Amino acid sequence: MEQRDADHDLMGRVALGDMRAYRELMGKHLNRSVKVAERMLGNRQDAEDVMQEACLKIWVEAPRWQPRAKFSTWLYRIVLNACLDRRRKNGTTTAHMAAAPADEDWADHIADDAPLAEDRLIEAQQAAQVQKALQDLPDRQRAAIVLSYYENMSNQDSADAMGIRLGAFQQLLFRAKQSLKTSLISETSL
Amino acid sequence: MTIHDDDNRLRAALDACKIQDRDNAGLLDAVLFNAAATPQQRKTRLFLPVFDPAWRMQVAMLACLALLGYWGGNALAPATTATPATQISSSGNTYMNTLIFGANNWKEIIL
Repeated sequence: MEQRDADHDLMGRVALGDMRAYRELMGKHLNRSVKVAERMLGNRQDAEDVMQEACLKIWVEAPRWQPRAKFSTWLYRIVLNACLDRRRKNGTTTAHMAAAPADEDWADHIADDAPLAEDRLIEAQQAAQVQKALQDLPDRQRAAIVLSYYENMSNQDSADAMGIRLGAFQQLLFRAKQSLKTSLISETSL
Repeated sequence: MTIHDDDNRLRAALDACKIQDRDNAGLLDAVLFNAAATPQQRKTRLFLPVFDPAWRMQVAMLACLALLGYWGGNALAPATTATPATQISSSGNTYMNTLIFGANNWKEIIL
């Protein structure tokens, strides 16, 4: 609740053009939001571009902002919409996030620490499989998983961030989990 | 990889897929630079929103000013009508005399 009030205070100052408040607010939320964008888009470069657009939108729209919901919910909504726009513009990207370092990096990595090398390689492969399954999900299903699992947001907050009703979000999340499980099963059976 | 058939195992699988924490100082600088170069979108609407509290406040203030002006005008009116304009109108311009407040009184004092 305090966090919410603090964000609202900062946003009130941002609305008056206070650059220091904007810096504080963005500094507070940038790390998490850029991760959401990275999970949504599958690569860091696009995520940074989208975050710049989203943050600029917050600055420009600040005087019109009404404190009806948490600031973070509004922020995620802007970030998610920007991600969806970016994917629509680029076509569905096939790039998958580098959850683990590239193969050549891994060779260096495992050479340093031989006893753990095999475990780490397996972990990296598993992470890559999960990441691929995640990226293959439809955009909205992926957004539901990202908000619910990675951001630990409540269903209501996630629904607000996605601009849908609670019931619709729960159905979306259920379908996303089913799709993810199916995808992981088919990956492992190959 | 094992088959994930329950929520906890799915969560464990998703947890395996971590994104490294990075230094976002450069990104924050870019964000601040963009903001500094861009003006904010102020509330300059042609049609004022009915539910905007600020708009209602402005209308209330204007209404108060209009009422004050009206009452103020009425309060001053007896002073201007104390000297009937028609008394001077016979030798001068009635319209101008009534238009310029106090003109009648000055004429009486001077003459």
